Amino acid sequence: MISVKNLKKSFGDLEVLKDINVEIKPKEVVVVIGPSGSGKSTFLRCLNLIESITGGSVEIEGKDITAKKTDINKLRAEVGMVFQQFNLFPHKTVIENITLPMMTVRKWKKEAAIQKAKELLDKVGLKEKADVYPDSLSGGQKQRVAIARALGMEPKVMLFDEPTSALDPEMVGEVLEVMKQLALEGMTMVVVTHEMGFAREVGDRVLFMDEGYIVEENEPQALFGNPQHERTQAFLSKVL
Amino acid sequence: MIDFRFEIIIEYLPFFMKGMLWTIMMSLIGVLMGTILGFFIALGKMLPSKLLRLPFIWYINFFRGTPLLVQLFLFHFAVLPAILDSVNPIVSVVVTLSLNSAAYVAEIFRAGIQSIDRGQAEAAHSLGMNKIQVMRYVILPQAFRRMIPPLGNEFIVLLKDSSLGAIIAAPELLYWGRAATGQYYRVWEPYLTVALIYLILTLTLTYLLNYVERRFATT
Amino acid sequence: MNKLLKLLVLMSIILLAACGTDSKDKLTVATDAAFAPFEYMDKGEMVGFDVDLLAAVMEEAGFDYELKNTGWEPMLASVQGGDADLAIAAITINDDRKESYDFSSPYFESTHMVVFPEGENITSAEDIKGLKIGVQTGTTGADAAEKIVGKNDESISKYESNSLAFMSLGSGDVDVVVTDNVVASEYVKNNPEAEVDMINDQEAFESEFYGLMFPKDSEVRAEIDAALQTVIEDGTYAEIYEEWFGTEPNLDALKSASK
Repeated sequence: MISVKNLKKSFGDLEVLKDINVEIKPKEVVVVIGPSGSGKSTFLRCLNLIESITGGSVEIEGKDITAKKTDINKLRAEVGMVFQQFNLFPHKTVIENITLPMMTVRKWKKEAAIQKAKELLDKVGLKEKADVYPDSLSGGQKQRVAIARALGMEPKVMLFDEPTSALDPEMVGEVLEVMKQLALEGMTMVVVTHEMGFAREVGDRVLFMDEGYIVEENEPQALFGNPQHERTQAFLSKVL
Repeated sequence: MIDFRFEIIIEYLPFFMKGMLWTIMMSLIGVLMGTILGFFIALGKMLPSKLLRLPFIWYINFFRGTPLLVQLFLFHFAVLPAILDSVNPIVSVVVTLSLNSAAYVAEIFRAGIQSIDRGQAEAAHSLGMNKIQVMRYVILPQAFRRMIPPLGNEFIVLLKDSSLGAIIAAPELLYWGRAATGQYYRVWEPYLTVALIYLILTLTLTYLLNYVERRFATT
Repeated sequence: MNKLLKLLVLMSIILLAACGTDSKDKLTVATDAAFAPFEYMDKGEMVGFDVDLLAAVMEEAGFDYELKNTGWEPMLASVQGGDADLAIAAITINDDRKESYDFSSPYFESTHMVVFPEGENITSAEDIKGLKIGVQTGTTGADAAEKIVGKNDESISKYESNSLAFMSLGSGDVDVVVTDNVVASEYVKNNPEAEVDMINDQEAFESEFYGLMFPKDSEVRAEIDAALQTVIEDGTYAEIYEEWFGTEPNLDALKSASK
């Protein structure tokens, strides 16, 4: 599904990703953990080219995303992304947030888009909030709308960039619940998070990143129960 | 100030009214052209290539960094006569005002666009929108709301700047104030009247802009 | 905050006091030194026919005075408000202005010229009808042109200065410029490359006369006017006139106009 080879990324002189290699299979839920500054968010943002790539390659369904003939906008529509800061459009109502990309990118008719958006809002439990502006929502509600907005594009894979880090603790659960549901439905997901419980429960595989490398990867039980690398051990001893 | 001769004002009132209409017309066209042109200059100034940005940067430097009066002279006596068959002070004022305000409007647009959180563009791009769609549906509507107050400021300045046309005999409002002063050698009657009319015009504009601002704030 | 306020108040008091203590024994004369050769700035110094004439008149009248270059509108306002005791700036005497000011007797006769691009068929003042006319706003040239085509007629463009009117003639913005003879010859002298002709129509253009301008009911007007007459009669005036214009003045015209 996603194939990353020798991925490198620098900001000026600062090398954030040094050599990333990973294969992500369809329907797989991959959780990326690691200390802050380890490059995990940057890695995620390189997957849909929100961040440009310095070296190496990323293929999504066999398409090299940096190739000249690849229509990056078309490709991004297939890859949903959820941000730490939600990034809802504040000048649009909740339902408009969801229908806008459907109508502009997918060229759906307005009625069809609204119909679909309502279904998605129902799915994330926010049917009654369709016509309010994002400002009046709580953080957890905003993030659920953001997920619904990404799902509106019917993506083949979803990227989550610390989706619960900006939330008050009591709202984390409702967002994770929606994500868990998605995983159960068979969505391919890459999740950068500090929620170890989620990683353990939902993840098929956990990647531990540090200083621009994937230091260790394994199934959650193995990685959390028996970490091999000393840096993984050090990190886990702090967060668990 | 002891003797205020209203008959001078009454005599010149028809001229003041005619001048006011020219002032309004020149300012309206100036605002319109300045805004359209300013938008594209702002986009030009945000181009990724340094070399391509350069002409836009220098356009803004020139028009913001030199006196409007000198620009008016340049266009009226040199540039426009070279392009057009016959020069007309009104046309010169309109052209100069448009080009000049475009430089200021460009900076307002650029500041407005760049004030929008990067996450907005990232989210829109991640959904597959292209650059134009991101600009049109996500960035500009939000930026425009923030640009209304500084744009309003610029429009008021432009309205008053149109009075420089008097110097090259464009028959706008201040021109007739000067003419009345020239005839009677009295300063206060014509100039205070002219100032009052400018005040009425700028107040009207201010209320109009407040209305627009409220409209955008609620949607 | 309180200190700052006190300082501001103090400063305003000093400023007001400085304005208020203009010694009354010294006359303040306002001018707009931007009208060569009557009054203009030469390397920072105010010079010109008016400047020299004023010096002679004041000496004759025995007044101490200070000549201030205030600019045109401030000059009018300060004379009207009594802040200046008089003004000299090639100011034309006419009935509209007499309603607001007192004037001395005429000290200069101004005749008018029509200036136009070489080769145009203009032989009399009447020929400017239907043409676009440039003048300097508030000058005798403007009055003279308006007497022919009508006050504030659309064909008249009133410029900020004569030089702008002449520039507009050069760029074709206007077809002719009407201005006084002195200004016209000064222009031709300074712009020998400008290909222009000019005509003088004594019948159509009545002469205009310049005078010193005083506030209404000025106390010093009579004294200064008497001194001006003396200066004109004892030959000092003619000397200054010849120095600046290179010709002899028409004293008879001045005399008949002052009656």
